[in-house]
Amino acid sequence: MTFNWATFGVFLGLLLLITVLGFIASRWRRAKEANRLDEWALGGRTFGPFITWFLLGGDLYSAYTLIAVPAAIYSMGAFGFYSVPNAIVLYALGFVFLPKLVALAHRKGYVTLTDFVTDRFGSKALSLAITITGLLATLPYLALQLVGLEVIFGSLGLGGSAGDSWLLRDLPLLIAFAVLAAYTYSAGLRAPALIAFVKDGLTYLVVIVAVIYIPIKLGGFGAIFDSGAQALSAKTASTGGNPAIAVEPSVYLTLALGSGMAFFLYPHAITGVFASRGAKTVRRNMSVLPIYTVLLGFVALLGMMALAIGIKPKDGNPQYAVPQLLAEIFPHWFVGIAFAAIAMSALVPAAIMAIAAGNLVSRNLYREFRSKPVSAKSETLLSKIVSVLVKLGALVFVLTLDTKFALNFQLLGGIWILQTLPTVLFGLFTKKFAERKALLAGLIVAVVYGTWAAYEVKTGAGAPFGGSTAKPFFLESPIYIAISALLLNLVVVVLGSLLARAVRSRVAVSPLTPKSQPESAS
Amino acid sequence: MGDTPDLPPSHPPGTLRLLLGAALILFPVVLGLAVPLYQRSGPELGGIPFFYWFQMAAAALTAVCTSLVYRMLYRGERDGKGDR
Repeated sequence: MTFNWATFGVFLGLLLLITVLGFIASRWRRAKEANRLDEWALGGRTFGPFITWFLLGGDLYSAYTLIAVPAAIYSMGAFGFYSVPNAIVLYALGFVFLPKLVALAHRKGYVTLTDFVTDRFGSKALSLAITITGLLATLPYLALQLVGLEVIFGSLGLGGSAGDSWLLRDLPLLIAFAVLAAYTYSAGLRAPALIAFVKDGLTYLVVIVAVIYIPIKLGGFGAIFDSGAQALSAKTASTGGNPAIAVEPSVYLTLALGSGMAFFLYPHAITGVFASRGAKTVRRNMSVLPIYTVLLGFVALLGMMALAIGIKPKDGNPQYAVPQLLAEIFPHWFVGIAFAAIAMSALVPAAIMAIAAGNLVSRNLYREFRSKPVSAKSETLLSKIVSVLVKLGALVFVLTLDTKFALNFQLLGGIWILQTLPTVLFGLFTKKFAERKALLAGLIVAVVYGTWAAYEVKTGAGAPFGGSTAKPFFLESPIYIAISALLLNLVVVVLGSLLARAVRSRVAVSPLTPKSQPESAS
Repeated sequence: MGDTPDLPPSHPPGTLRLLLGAALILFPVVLGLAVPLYQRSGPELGGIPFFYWFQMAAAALTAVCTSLVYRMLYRGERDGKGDR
């Protein structure tokens, strides 16, 4: 797309503003004990309902969401709308289990989900499996945020084209990366929390203006859906029925359910939750945040609007559909605001993801597997360094590998992370039922099965990882692989636990679990 | 260290209230996942096919239902417990 000074000026101004905010964030609600990990990584665990709202909103509405969800509608129609029921599931589930988890996290000082699992089950192997699953699921997610940034820079007409040197081509991304890494290093979670205000404010503004103004300009939603459906039927060559509502129910349902249940297991989501002041804050947020979903629905419909006015995305990449739609409809300065909002929606979650990955490495790999005790200071320092390294890794990933690889990896990450659900829920809500060895076995079996099943799904060209849905076991309809893997996982956990209990009661020795002393009520 | 201890409840809610709470949480989730129920174009709302607006309405309903459950069961829930 062509470069425009007005668009670029507004964009640059807003990005500079949040960069300043990112650096002064280290003084915001300043820490009493700056060396403690939860000061840097969780903002001192003091965020009330208001800040938590923006921080969790920032997690959920990433650039990937703002670009990829409408892009899915643009290229596949109604199917892309599954992110709405997905959000219904994630808030309902979050309402049920997060308050209890966050209360425990405060009392016992958990920084990561693995901290809870270690404390609850006392199994190094299970904790390691949870840590690695979390890390592997976060990295491609982080890489995709940078892909979102690339799309925005491309839409601004920044960066060179294929003929130029790599430095010129990727310079905007390198600068954005360096700034992001610097303020996250110095301010920790306070930086994305502060920036989230600006980001969410602008995102609301842009989305609300877009969903009111564009339909008026295009002759109402009726006209949008009419021409959108025509464009879809020309594209997908579907037969019969309205292509604007054509989805495979079993796929749609299980994708919404599986990705919804997985959401709060991602390390970055947990980081946002643990940074809140406590159970009440989280519970209240979970009951109000679903309102955001209505907005998400309208964001998704931007894809339909792009179809309706016949946007032809750059390089045939549907991710450009929304940026091009905005550039076509709005005046240049407003496009600058919109692109800035999307860029911030990449930077905020990317910072949180990097912090979350840093914590997993410093606390659950380094401290856990080192024989000498680790001071809080060096633990925090390591987290900071890893947060930079992780971003560097994502950058290299995006610059050197095909985007397709990041997408495949992200798809697998979603399947893998859901398999940690039994450990978390059984750990939180049952006292003696689940056996740690059974949980570990279930996780491993499900991850292996899910990876294999995803590998077996071929693309049109016969390449592996062609999608995330397959017909499992003996079923007739295709479903999301994460769900069939989770069923397998649960079977292993339940049977394994029952078996272990039967063996134990026969042998009649003391329980295998090392931690059976009840804690005195605090 | 030990098995997950429960939070000290201000007053333990009765079974009936818990069941009602569970039903209120599950209701919008079931609606949101009941694809055959809403996979139709009409009735439209302001030109938006039923498929789309129904799911958005279910999302709004989630907020209403969980807020009700919050008022019914978790009013006594607190944040920090003086541990910091």
